[in-house]
Amino acid sequence: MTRIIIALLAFIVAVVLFFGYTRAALDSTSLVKADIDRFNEALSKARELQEIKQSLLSRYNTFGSQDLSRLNRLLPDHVDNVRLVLDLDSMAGKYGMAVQNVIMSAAPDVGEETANVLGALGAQEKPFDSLTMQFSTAGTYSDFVRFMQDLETSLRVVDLVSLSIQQVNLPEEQLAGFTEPVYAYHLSVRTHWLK
Amino acid sequence: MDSKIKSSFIPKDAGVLSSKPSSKRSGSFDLLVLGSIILFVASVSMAIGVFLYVQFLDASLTSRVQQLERAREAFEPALIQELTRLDNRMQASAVVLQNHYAPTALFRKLEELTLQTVSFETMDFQVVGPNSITVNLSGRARSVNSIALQADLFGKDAAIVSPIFSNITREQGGVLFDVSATINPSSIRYVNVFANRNVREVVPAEGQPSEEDNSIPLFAP
Repeated sequence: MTRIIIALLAFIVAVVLFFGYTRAALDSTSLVKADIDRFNEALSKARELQEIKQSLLSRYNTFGSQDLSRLNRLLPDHVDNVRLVLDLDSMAGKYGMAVQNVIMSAAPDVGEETANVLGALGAQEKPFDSLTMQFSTAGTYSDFVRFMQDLETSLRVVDLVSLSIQQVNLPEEQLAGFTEPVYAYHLSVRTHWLK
Repeated sequence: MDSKIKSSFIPKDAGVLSSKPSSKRSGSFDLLVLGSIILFVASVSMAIGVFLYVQFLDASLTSRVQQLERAREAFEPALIQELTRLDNRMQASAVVLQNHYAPTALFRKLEELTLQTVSFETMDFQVVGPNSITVNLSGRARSVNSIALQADLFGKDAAIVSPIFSNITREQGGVLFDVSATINPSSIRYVNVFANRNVREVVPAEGQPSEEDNSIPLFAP
């Protein structure tokens, strides 16, 4: 009789142990193994990325701090339009001209060339923003050309959007200081900054 | 005298029933018990094995998570962000420079092409689209022949596309006229103008400042 009970108990315990724990635990191991495989893959990619990072870092270290600073000035982080007006005025002032009637406005879309040119950057959104500024000034043609030369070669990129030149008929007493005819210039320029 | 010879030939255990069927049942019962025990031992062994395996996998998973965490820290997210922004800035700057125009190249071109007998009084320059630049001029010429010659000169130049002369009006002291044309964008694109300028300035003349001396105005904060 005892042996019957022992056999029955052993059988019941074996069955319960198998279905109650072993099978469920074995099932859960497949999930854990899948996680480990994923992590192994991620680790191997991390190693590859680390190598890429090292190579990029060594390239980055070859950039001079002056070059990086110039690049930051070429496309700054903020528009800083007040500073832009002051810089334009001082640039014009070098040639005896004054910047007047300044109007700021968000840059209208002049086609989507930039998006097309961007290509790798993604056609849907430009990485930089633009601001259009209109202003007027007056002076001789040669002074204006020198001013424009400074403007187009300035480190902070300023694109000319429109320009209108008209001769100004100044009174004789004001013309005394000029050896050349004086013109009025209405300019619309655009500047950019990194978003 | 008792005879020692057994008188009966009937075996003494003839009346006892054979126990053989009972022992057979007991044997198969033992086998069942043995099977149960083997099953029990196997089940317990398997459970222990699986338990240890689960422990091993858990330890392995934890170790991978820690390794990934360390790998993430080694990436230095702040540095990656800085490098990404620099990359964006470089690519965006290339685009901005590619679309940057040098209007003085147009002024030089007009100076070069305008006849001595022709002068311009007004000018409207407009960047209409990314590859479309228009210019409208109104001027005065000494004669209609001068306008014809001017039209010929403009027509032959690659920078000024489709010049149209209109509103030709004789007046005292000359002939008034208007010109409208489109400008070939590549002729005033800054990168092209700068490249041409560099070609001209490869060997600076003696006494002239070298390229490095031509400081670019720093036009930003």
